[in-house]
Amino acid sequence: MTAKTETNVRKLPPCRAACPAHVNVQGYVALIQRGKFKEAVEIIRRDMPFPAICGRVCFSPCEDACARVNVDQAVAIRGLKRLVADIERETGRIKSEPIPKKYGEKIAIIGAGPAGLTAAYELAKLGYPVTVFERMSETGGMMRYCIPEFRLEKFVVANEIAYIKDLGVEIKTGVEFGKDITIQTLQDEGYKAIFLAIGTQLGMKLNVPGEDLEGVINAVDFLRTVNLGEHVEVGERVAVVGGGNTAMDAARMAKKLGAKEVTILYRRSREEMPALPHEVELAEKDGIKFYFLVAPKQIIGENGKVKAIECLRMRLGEPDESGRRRPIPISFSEHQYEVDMVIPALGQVAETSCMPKELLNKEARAPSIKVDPATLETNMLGVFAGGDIATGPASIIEAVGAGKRAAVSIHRYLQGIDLRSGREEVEETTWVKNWGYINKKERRYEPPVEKPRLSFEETREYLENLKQHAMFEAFRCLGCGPCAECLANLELCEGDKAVVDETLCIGCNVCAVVCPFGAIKKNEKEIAQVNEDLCKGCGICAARCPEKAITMKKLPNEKILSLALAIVKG
Amino acid sequence: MAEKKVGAVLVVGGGVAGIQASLDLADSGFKVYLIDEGASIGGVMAQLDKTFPTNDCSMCILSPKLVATGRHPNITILTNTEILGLNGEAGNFEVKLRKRSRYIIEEKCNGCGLCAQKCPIEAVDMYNGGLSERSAIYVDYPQAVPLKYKIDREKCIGCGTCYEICKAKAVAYDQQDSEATLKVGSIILAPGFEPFDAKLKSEYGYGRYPNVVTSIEFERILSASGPYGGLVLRPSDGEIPKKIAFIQCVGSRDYKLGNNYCSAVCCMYGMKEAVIAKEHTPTKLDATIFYMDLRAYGKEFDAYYNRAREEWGIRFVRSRVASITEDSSTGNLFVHYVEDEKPKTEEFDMVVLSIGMQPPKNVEKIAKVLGIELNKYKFCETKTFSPLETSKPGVFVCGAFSAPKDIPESVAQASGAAAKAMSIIASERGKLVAVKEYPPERDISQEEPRIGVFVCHCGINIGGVVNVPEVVEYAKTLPNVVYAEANLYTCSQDTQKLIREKIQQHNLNRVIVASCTPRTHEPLFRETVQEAGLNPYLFEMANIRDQCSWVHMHEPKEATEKAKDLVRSVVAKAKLLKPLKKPEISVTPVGLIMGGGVSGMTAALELARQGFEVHLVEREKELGGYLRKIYYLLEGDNPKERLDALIKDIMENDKIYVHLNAEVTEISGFVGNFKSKIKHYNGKEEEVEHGIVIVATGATEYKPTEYLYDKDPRVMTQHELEEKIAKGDFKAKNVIMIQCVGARNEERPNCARICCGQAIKNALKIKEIIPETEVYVLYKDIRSYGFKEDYYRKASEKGVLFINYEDSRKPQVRNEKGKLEVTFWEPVIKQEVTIEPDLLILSAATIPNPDNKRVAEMLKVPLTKDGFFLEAHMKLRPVDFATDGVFLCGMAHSPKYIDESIAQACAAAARATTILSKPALEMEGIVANVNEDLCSGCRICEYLCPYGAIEMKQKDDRLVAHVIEALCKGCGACGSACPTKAITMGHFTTEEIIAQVKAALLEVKA
Amino acid sequence: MMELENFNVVCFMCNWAFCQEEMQIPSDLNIVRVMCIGRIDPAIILETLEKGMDGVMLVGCKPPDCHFIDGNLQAERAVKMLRKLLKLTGLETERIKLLWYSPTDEKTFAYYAKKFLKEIKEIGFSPLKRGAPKSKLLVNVLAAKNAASDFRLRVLLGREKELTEGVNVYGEKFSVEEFDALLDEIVTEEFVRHKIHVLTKTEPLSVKALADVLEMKTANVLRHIVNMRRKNMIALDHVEGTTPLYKALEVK
Repeated sequence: MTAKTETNVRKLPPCRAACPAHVNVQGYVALIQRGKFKEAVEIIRRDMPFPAICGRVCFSPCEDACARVNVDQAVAIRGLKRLVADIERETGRIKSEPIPKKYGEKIAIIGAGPAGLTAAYELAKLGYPVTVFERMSETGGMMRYCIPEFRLEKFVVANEIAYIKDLGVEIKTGVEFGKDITIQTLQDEGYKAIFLAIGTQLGMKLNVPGEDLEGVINAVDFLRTVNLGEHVEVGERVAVVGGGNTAMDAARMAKKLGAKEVTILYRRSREEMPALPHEVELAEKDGIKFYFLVAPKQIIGENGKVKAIECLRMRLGEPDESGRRRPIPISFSEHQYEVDMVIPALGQVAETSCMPKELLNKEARAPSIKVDPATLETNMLGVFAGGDIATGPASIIEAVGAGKRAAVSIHRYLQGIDLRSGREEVEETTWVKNWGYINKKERRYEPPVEKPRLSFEETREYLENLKQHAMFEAFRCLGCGPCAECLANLELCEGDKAVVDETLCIGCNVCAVVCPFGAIKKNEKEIAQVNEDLCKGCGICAARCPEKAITMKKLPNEKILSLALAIVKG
Repeated sequence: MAEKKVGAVLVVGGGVAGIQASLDLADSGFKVYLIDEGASIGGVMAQLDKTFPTNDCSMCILSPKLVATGRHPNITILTNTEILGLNGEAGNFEVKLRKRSRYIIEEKCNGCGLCAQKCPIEAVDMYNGGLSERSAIYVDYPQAVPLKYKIDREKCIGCGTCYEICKAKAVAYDQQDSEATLKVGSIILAPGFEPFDAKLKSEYGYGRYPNVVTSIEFERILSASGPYGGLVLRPSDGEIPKKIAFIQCVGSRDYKLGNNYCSAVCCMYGMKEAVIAKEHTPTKLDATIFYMDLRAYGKEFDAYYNRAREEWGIRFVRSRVASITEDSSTGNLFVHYVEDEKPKTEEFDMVVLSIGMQPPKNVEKIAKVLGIELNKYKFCETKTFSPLETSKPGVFVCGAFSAPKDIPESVAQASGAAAKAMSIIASERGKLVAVKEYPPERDISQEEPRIGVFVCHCGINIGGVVNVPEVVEYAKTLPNVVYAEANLYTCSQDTQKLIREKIQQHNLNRVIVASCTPRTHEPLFRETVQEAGLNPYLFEMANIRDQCSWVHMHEPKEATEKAKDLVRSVVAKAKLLKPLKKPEISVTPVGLIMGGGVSGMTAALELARQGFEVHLVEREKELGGYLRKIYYLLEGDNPKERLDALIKDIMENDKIYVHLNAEVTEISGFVGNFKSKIKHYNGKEEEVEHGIVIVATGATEYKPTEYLYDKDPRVMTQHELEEKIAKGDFKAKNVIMIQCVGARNEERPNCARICCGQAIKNALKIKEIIPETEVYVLYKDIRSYGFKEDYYRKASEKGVLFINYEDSRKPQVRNEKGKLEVTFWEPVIKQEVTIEPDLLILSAATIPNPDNKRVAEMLKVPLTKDGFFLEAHMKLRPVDFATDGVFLCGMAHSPKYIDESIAQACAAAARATTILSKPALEMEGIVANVNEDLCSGCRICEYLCPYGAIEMKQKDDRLVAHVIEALCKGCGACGSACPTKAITMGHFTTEEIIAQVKAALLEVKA
Repeated sequence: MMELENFNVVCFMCNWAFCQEEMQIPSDLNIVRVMCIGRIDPAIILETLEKGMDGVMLVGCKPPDCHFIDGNLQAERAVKMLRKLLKLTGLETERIKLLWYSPTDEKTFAYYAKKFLKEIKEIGFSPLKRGAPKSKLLVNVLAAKNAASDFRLRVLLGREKELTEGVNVYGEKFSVEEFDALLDEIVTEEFVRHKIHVLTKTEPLSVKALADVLEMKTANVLRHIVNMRRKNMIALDHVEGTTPLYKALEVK
């Protein structure tokens, strides 16, 4: 790694820094405040192509980082994002014009999931001819096939991918890597760089007797089949094994498809469940039953069909490397649940059979491709890999981040630029360093979404009816960054700054007291000094300075006065 | 008396008395802790506008003493401090003190005043008598010592502004009260007095009628630094009054209030205020003083009274005012009084209540803690022959706390108390004081001038008006200036260190500070350069505050230019500065006292107790003087016994050489080194060497020429009556006493002070012996000041008839066919009355010793018009002469009672000790120098020198002038007059002054 | 002609409080955007009034949603002080309005703007409007403006939050009521002093003359003059008969 220098550290507001794709949250929220919903979407698209998708299913690390929690509660960023994306879609997306090709080097991207599509999107924007190869008939990867309709509508996915296509990205579906094409054939066809983003498709097995019985179907397969629109026979009593989001989706899907009773069996307790708490709540709302501290021992069949699942009771031991307490079976605790369908939902693994052996990571427990985490280079020159295939199953937004990184690496690779040097690092910054300074308050108004994570059915109606509320919610943004960098183009947004006249300042410290951001401190001369990084230009100090020693660069008192008096004089 | 003694003294109270006592003690080699409950020292005197009878500006004469006290290395001032407890005994006390928080770190506060300027909270300013406001963070007045701000915790809202803007970081809101224990050998109490609360005299409407003010408030109204800028205004509407009434005895001589005593000072200050009010008023002002007796009993006071009446046209009405009412529409006041038995009402624009003195507020607590007794008025109890001693050994008292008194008497008592306090710890002299050592002086004679200029911002005092950085930059361009910088406060401790460093670093050999006034700060900076190895006279100041930023507050540009001019001119002078030596003169630790009365004897004893040899020279064949004629006292002490004891003490003291039947015929020399000839009447003459002289030659009784004295045996003086009574010869049914015989007349305008007391004493004695004897006292004013008022009242109660007469209707005395007839006007019944007394007693004045003229000439000291000795300063140097090393006390100064003489005698001893206690005196280095080659011997300088510092000496075959450095004050009168320019003044040479003036006028080309 | 003149109302608006582009606001209303409504210096408001503005509206975010934590509350404090000052001037305090607005408000901003304009129209044109004769009122508003520009009121305003919400430097609590009472007192004092200053700027005046104008007791006027002399705001000019006359000094 190159030494961290001040120039390549990019200071971002906490929300943006927390986002793997570094989406300009502050910018689009600022635009929402002004009712500029379409412009807000544009801002999101600068950083990633899936505003509507992430507005629905992102686990929103931005909200976890939001500085507003220090005052009351985080801004409902995800809800806002979804809102603007939906508004745009409904009012008719402006069809994006294909981007003229600036470069001649063809790029092949394997896998039309979030990582691959993002890389394609970014590279197309740079002016490269990009072709995406997808094994399935529809693009979107897990977004399309794994997330149920009730969480992420197909047309939403299609719409966002259409946007990418409109930019001039070529997408070839039904082309299977390792069979129809290989690295070699692609290179032969003149592709100068290849990005492998095939994700993880295989559901993990239970590895217990009876897994072959009729009625046992892996969650990934189950959801994919449903999403493909094919008929799936759902039992009356279904057991879903596992505690992740996929388990929740599968359980809820089974219920929606007609199962009378759906039970989730999880070997640890509720606290250890990897699913988002909100998803768990929704599952409970749907009537899903939960059994904790149970692990399947075998699936009991009758006539080749599932009859029951036998489980062992577990207790929790010491935490393992994941930090969660390790489940330990309790002897002779076998018991059975009468079910006619078992859906293992234990996570996914990559299907690496199609991969050249030299790309594989031999050290990893799960099959994956070995990449440099910063540049996403593989062992093969010109071949990059990212997304779940490199990291193991993760989130959409992480995949988007990987796609963006890959695009940068590929661009640099193709242009002969060092892949690492001067690459931006991101550091979080916020204007208030000492939050103890600010009194916590109660949140006065409800956000446009009741909680940051609602199911989409609930959110949709809510948001549709409450654009005003969305604007209001956006107002809650404290604007941590020095400038919103948005399209609002308001003069004031460019960040006014306080200036101290040292000959007038007597050091009374009133400015420091009234400054909401701790941006003014007295210097060694006992004179007020403005830290421009922290100064947000509100001007309260200028209004209060007893000696009138503080003025604002852009909006001094005289200017306010002349603006105000313009009508009187006229 | 404790075995292990401590050479330190605690002085309680920082008024003028406490200050004087502290200075005398510290100058005599003792460590002093001066404590005051207030935030600064100065007491009531600091509030006064002018002082009687000289009309000196009070602050102007006090301020140098304040500064001297504040800067004295042996005085530690503890403000906001009170006594909590006392242990131990005389010579070795342990005092527990509590210092109340002022919320300011005194060491850090440099008095810049920014805090007070910016404090948003206002409070009533009690220094200005409540007539104005000050900030919640404040100093009492700009010259306050120590100049440390204080937070008025009651008023402060705790906004924190002062903390933030204090560049010195001196504000400490968490400062707590602290306690400390001190070891001292003796204690002097000088807590002063509390002005009477005029609200208690409700019939005068104070507090209800805005135009009724107290005399203290009126002092502030008169003062140029007061609320009205020195213009007399009515508080009700700001109009200049045309008619002011002064009501005397408010809270004094008031039996109903329990304050029967006379406050002793109000008549004089009332007159003074009336005079000054007229002076300060552009329009015609009528001033009327309503009084009972006009008590102008002090030295030269009656002359002042006469001037007030005649020159200033002040109207005096002898009447006690019954009440005051207000015309609410105009704010004018109706003064209701009785004159000639008729009720009268007169309208005035304004009324001033001459409020009396009361004991300090917390007096009972102090008394309890210290174990001292109080009198019935709760003033400190003292005795006639020990007027400075409390009932607790080792604890002494001075000032108004022992009885109401004016400034000179307080100051005299203070010095006296200092002598008393020293005498019990004389063996510890010099043990606890700090002696400062300086590095050897650098020889700069071969060096080019290298000048360093330090320009002070003085917070915003200067920096707020003058562009200080610009002045610094300008200074750098001046010739020979090698270094210049700006300081926030050039006087602060750390800047002193910095100046020393810069002197070393840049090899400076002249230092200039452009800041405030040399009057207060020059000694500090001189010391600083001396600490850096430079001669202190290589320092010079430019006053860019008083002469620049203050007077040109509203013209910052011009002020900056002027500051440059001032700096430039001082730089021009500094180039020429030369090192000066401070001459040292040795001291002969022996005293010479002229006069063996009670004053002379007391002074002699005090000096001997301090460990110095004394020659006591008395003309008569025995010691005792005037006291010999006193047989009994008003207060009851036995004067004969006390006199005998005193003489015994003198005779037994082996340090005192008594010369009886002798007089001093010749004195030569100067302070520290006098030589005198004592001639005994038997013809023997001896010569003694001594370091100081105390004049205690006393006074004598007037031999009346009026009222048939010496012509009729029934007519006699008070002394003669006293002797008659003492011998048991007194027998009479009718006695008339006539006051003011030989006093308060054209020849001798002043009051003889003690005759009223004598008359009352004798009248009471008569009533004691033969109660049915009728005693008539014919008087002009009964001047029984202070607690003597009690005896006046007692005499009235016993039936002594006091009948007032005016100069226009003096009593007539006739010998009508052998019958002695006295006719006088009875003002109550309004008719002439004739009485045939058995005895007519004349209260004959005390007049100066006829020998005074000779003594004065011999000592080269002045006399008053009346013929008494004239002290160096009527107010603040009551026992000093302008000539160093010569002091006076007792009736040689003016008529006075025994206790007053004793106090003055002790004072003279203390003042003398400040010289005798030093092995050598360091004199000021700025003295005249004679170039003997140029001197023509014309003697003009000798004639002009006000200090007798020039003598003519034979050199070779001609006469040349010679400067006695010990006497030279450096005024330069000789130098400017010398026709041959043979005399030059150190530090103010003609070249230096011309260079300074030239540079001030012309822009020097750098 | 007065009737033909428009009403002039200025609306100082927080950049964040309201951003709808298509505001249906009356044309008489001039909007001046600032970053935060706490930005508005009380002296600015008084100056706009002095120059003849008929009404001043301040629009900020509803608490606690100020972008700058509590800039809106700072504005509220300023308005509280301004009202105190305005009351002393005799100008209708209703000419200043502080509105806390948020997009969730049922009413549109235009509704409030119109309402305020209506209120102002009911009060009528500002007596200080262009062309109006120089009046006692102008002196009052000038005095109020100067008072609001002076250190004393500004520093108190600046410290109000600290003092009333926290504790003072001694750790004591200061209630809002106590502070209010203190402010009342000081606002009155400063107003009177600055009024004296304004009045004596043009010609030297006596205590009595000032008392007549100020409708105050002469004794109180004198006290203020004493105080102003201490602060170098005023000086004795000359004496006429037995009456001293004072003249204002330029304040730095």
